Amino acid sequence: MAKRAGLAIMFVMLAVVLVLSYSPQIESAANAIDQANWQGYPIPPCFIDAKMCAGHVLGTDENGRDMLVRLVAAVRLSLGVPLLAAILELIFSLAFGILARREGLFAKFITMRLVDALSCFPAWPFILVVTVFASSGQRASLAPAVIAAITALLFSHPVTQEVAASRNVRDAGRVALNASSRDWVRILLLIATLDYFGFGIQPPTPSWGNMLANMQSQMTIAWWVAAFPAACLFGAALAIEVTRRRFLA
Amino acid sequence: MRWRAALLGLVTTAIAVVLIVLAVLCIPGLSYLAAFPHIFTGKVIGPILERLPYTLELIGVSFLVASVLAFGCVQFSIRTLKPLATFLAVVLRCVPFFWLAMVLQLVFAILGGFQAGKTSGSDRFDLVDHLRYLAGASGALTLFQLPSLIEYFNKRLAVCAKGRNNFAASILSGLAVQFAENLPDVITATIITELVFAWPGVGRLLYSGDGNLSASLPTGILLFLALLVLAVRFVTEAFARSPDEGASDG
Repeated sequence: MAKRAGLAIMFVMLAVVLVLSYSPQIESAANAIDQANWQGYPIPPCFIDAKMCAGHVLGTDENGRDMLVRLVAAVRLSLGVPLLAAILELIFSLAFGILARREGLFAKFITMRLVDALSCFPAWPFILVVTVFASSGQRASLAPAVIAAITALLFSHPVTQEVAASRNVRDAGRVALNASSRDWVRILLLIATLDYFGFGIQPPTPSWGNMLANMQSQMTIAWWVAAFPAACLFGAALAIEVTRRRFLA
Repeated sequence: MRWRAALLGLVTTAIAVVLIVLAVLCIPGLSYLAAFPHIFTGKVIGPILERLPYTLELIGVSFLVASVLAFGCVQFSIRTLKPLATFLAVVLRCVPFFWLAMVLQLVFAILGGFQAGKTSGSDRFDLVDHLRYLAGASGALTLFQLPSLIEYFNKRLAVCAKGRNNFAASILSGLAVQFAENLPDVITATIITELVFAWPGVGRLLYSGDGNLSASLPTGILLFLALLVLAVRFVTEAFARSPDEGASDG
């Protein structure tokens, strides 16, 4: 009972954060440049320099945009797309797994070979090539939902195997839920990596991954530009992983 | 019988892999299918084979180091502080790998004297430089492989403690199975490491080849990497005995 309540609280908190990140005020403020105080270099956070920070609690990025607002606005896509991918993975692997459990060698054999073949592709280069092909060589990105669907297909192999081997449909559902939640962290970090290398969500739309795009040049000048989005990624991944281990594993 | 099943699985999965690659090639247009035969010409396969030893070197060195570290970490934590290894595995699993690699690259640049513009594989690159770059790049990749190996050794030691299986006998085959299962993720991490550390492997070739849309090069790399994973899985399935199989037998 306590486990279920804890899990419910976790999901309610996640829903609140996601809804907050969708608010129009946050969305418009995320790309607003502080024209009055920004002088071409990142403004430091208030705990470093209270006089210089000009009300930007976590400072600004290299373009003078508030870090805190951008971090909150980035929740929508940084957590939402991996969540969608995990849900799609759950659906795909349940469908593949149930198909593989059916009588008849053909359905089982074909399904498992297809899932086996998909699992042989390294996810990041696969999405990179699909993105480049889909955008005709331009550095554009696929729609987040398409990235989520491709990732879900590529990661569905172990879950499908577990579902196919489970004793009944109820067991299969529980196994698939656990495995999909396990992959949520993997997908979260994979999609952040895509964003970082410029193949995922495109600026100025904020995501924790693309906020780190200039971190190599900024790290020694303005460490907060490289630290806070990474801390958000790490914190979200850790929260999901710990919750899974505590409530689902 | 086991061999025949594995072989049948290999052939049919390879056909499915080729079909998926063909489907990817169709994304820009059906005319791009004409690029598929070019994958097997020297212009595409040549550079891939030239760069492959660098990628395999990186994967091999980091896997060996990570295996030794993970085993030591699990043994140490069992004797001293039990949850330490699990904690380390969870934390490392949650750190964004590209960020970790970037930070390590910066640290190596300061401590190890990495020079901008000088990449491994260039003419002015001697053995010492090569080893220095290898240490940096494989260090990052080691940290990526560590969590799954720690979890593997944790599980193995628990099985061993229950007396259900002989740890020493199953360790190599178990590691091989673990390696084969994780290989696609390890390849992804290797490509990221190659980009960050300017390591001249297949990943750098993929990244440099994507911009001008020479369709056969990225598709060829994708096909080659998938077939590599398939071959490794086939070998482990055919030769290595799964430790769980051994446990159930015992």
